[in-house]
Amino acid sequence: MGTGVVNLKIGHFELELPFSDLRRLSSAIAPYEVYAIQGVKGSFRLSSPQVGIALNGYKQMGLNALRYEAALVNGTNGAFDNNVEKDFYGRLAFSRLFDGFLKSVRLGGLYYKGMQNLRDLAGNPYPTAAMRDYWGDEFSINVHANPENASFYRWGIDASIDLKIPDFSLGPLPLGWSINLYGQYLVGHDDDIDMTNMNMPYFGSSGDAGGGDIHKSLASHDPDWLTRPFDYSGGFVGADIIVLPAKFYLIGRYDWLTASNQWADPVDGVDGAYVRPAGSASWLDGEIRRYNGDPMPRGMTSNLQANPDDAINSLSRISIGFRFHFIQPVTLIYEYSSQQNLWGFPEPPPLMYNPDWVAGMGRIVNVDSNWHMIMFMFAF
Amino acid sequence: MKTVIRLLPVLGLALSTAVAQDPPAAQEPDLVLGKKVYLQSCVVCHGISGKGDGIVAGNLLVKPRNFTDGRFKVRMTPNGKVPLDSDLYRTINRGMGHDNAMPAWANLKVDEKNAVVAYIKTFAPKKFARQDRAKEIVIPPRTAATVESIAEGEKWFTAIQCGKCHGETGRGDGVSAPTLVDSWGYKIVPPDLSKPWLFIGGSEPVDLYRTLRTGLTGSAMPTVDGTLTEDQTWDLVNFLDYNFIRPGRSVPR
Repeated sequence: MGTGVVNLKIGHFELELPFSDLRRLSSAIAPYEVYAIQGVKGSFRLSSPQVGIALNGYKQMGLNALRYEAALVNGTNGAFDNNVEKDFYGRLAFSRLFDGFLKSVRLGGLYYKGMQNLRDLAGNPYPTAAMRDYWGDEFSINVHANPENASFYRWGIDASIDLKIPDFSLGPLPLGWSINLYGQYLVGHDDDIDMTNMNMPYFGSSGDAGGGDIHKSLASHDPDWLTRPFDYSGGFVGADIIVLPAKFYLIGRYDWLTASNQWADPVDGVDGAYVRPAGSASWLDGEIRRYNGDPMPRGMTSNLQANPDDAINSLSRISIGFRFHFIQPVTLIYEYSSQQNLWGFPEPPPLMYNPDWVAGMGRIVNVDSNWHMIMFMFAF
Repeated sequence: MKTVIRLLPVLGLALSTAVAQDPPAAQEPDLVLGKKVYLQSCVVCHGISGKGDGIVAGNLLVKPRNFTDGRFKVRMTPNGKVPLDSDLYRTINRGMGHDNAMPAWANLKVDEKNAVVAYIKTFAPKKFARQDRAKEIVIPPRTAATVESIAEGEKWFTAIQCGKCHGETGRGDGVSAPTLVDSWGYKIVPPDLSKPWLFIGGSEPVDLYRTLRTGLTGSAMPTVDGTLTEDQTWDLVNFLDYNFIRPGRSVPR
């Protein structure tokens, strides 16, 4: 008699996260923010499928069960692996069935340990000679990489509880609902690989060493700005309610996220204090503005001087919705999300090669938003 | 060719009989093994205490059987009586079919199936204590599916108003179909007899006969026992089989 299963996965697969993206009402809005957050310099997302090998399974022991996964992946979200670093993912969850109002409880944990790209496929360490030549020749910047600051990790704990209200009805409204309450707490940390020299000059407009005076001023006052790792914590709690099986479902979820050491939001910068006078903008600064407005992190352009410690550093979102299969073949899905502060906007354009910028490093910005999503599905 | 066509019903009966064979009798009920199998395979729907309230029960349109009240749909015993061990075994082995979530557990070993049958009976000990007194119905040999028999069956189909639920063309779209509920108040759907799925209780002629004679306890499907004779029941089976379930065959003369 089988009391469990073991599954070997090789190739491109979704990590066994506690709450799969597939259980969302739709993929249109309201992702699980702590899974989707893209903080590391490699654009790693926990929720993205990865390429690698994994062993996962399920073992039942009476009313108790264990679910596990151990995976070795490349951490590039399914893209072609451009380095030799490998990442590890592990997950363990324990569940137990109960009798009565409480049907089941599941508790679990996850851990992901990754390395940022330090070597190419040939094993050459980053930055490659071509990178050094480019930055050295063009901007007199000494690019290097510090392997000590090249890892990142995620760890989290999760819980899921199933309840069943005894069947009864209020007029035509059946109230014998099945309810799944769930929650995830997750902590993330990305080292700052620091591929630039602490003493590098900022992009100079003219003069000696490309505006080195300004840079020296910044570095001496707050050198942490240049080697600031990224940390965040957050999670979500939610409820899925089955009002009518196969007919009508309700969802509700609350996401929150707090980022520390994030790139500062210029909106909250020091009023009237500029990183550099507007008149000193470099050629590259001009290019950045041309492509991207004036959004650069770290206040490296003519933005208001942005103090990361004063920045908006948290966001929250509440989502509600329903799925109503009211007549074959039509299903109606409605979802509403209201978010306080946005994550990841704006992002630098990918053509800007700076180890920080190309990562798509997001920030929390002081912009609130509301989304409505209505979808009709026809399935014949 | 005609001979082959004439033999089809006979072959069908033989096959049906083979499918419906009783399982090997259990030597001794192994309740420890039965509980283990139950917790492994049954508990998520039927619940720890067998009340049909497992963790996924709320997700299912057709609710899992509550074992504690001793009422079962598929039986070789009269309507309302407890089933035989072989009935439970057959359902475990074959699943329930139609729109029901109960899968076939044919992959379990024979002793595991016998053990879980014994364990299921512990949820309604008083009911199953009367199992020895349950009268097993006898299924007589099938009446030949002649044109006359089929015509006779059609007459009974109309007379006892099968179409009220199943529809005049057997599509499950009778006038009463939208309002049907089972004994627990849950909505039920009469099967479309023209679809090649497993009906609750089975789709072979012998299964249809048994379902007609015993009814499906707890559902809207009544028994014809007391309404039709055994031969008339077979006529009705022949009509259903040739018109709805396996149409397209030459009607035998």
